[in-house]
Amino acid sequence: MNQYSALVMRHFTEPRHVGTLADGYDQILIGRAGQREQGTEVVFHLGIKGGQIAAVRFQAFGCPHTIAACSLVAERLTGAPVEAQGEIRPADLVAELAAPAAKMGRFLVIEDALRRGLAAWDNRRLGRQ
Amino acid sequence: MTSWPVYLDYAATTPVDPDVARAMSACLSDAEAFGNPASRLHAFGRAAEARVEQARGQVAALIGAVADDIIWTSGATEADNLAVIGAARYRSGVGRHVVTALTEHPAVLDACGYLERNGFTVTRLAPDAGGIIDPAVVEAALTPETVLVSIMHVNNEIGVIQDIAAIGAVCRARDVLFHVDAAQSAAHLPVDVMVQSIDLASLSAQKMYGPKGIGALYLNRDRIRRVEPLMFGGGQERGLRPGTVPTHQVVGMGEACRIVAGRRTKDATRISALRDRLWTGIGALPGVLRNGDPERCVAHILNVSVTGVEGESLHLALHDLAVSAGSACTTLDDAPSAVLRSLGRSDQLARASVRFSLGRPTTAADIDRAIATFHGAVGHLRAIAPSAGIALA
Repeated sequence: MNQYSALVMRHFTEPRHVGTLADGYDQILIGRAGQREQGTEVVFHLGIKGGQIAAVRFQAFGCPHTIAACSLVAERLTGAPVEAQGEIRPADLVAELAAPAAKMGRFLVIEDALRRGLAAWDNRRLGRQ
Repeated sequence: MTSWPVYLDYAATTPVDPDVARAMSACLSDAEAFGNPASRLHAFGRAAEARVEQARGQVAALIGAVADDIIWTSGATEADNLAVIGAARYRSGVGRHVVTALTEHPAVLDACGYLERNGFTVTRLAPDAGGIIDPAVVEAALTPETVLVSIMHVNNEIGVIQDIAAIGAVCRARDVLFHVDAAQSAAHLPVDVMVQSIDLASLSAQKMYGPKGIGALYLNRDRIRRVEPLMFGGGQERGLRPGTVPTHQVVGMGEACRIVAGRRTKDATRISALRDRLWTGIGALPGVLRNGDPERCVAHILNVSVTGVEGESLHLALHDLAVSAGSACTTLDDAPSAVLRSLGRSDQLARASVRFSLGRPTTAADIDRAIATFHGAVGHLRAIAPSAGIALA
């Protein structure tokens, strides 16, 4: 088990904020990325209230680092401004979770999902939908 | 670690039987046993040689061979290499074609790859969806150039038993040498080199409650007088495998074979029932697929793939169980099991696979704990995953 840090083990064993959001928010942003056939698929639901991320839920099919990173990100984004989801950096996640460099591709999938969620926000804000 | 995992990885290696450990220990502590078994000029050497030859006879007896046809090696990997490369080179004047299967152990496949890079042609046969190599497919692959067929008795990942006697008969009829990697079978199934028309067989002590670091190659000298050695530097083992014979190691292997011969059938019956209990328990979950033909499976191995979960996460979630992903020999790299891919499993299913392998110490309580752990792990990961339904294949 020593290839996984204590932080990975904690979030993998007891991931926070797993699931989806249905209603009760000004808007629910959904960001999905990855393909199960490629080994990683993640979905984020972000419940927005007054320009803040009031709640985050995620679902993930992926390696332990992916699941742990999603849980960590969900925890971190809860209560943050909407734009904060665009500030999650894969390299920071690799370092924080002490993940092997080869896992960077999985974390890029998480970044993609969050950017798609943010794009949905921007589109709404700019009247593009 | 608060408690040790349940060990269900006996196909990777077995613990040493206490009687084996005692026999080995006696070799290390007895004042008259330390001699070099090749030093026949004095009593110390002859005493050691007597123990080595007794062990040789015990190994031979397990597979219906004569003692002179057993060559000590460092394990089954070396035996496979010596058999495949050594026999092919020895017969290279007759032809330069070798037939094997995609599901063979890397010790055979990589040895075949070496031959290929050195002027041989290799045919790698695909198994059917259950992992079986049809003897008729072997026969169809033979050419006038074929000098060797290498097919394992029991597959180390999925436990499928090949029809060795039928393949042996095909090879004998065409005067082609037949090598069998029996590392995974000898402790669980009858192996009879005469009845099964086997010309070369690889054995490993550490798969049959003996020590690591010792194995044997059976060489039917009526069919092949010698193989080309892979090492040089001494006349031991008739020059086929030079190096001082480690008396305590071979005595351990001999004792392990003696014990196996006495209890193999009874062990297989008990272990098979436990394996069925395990399958009943974990197979009750939807989307758990058994790999390999269940009607042709050795008693101690159960290999499953799981839909809807990712392989690495599955193995971490199962950390309360000491099991293997694929074979223990391949878990060091990230590639999905080539054996499972050859059965037609997708990359996802090949990665999300678990090999359970049971042994003499396995209890019903171990199996029940494994079932509960497996249910918990799969349920945990499926609850996290985006809903995509649980495909059944």
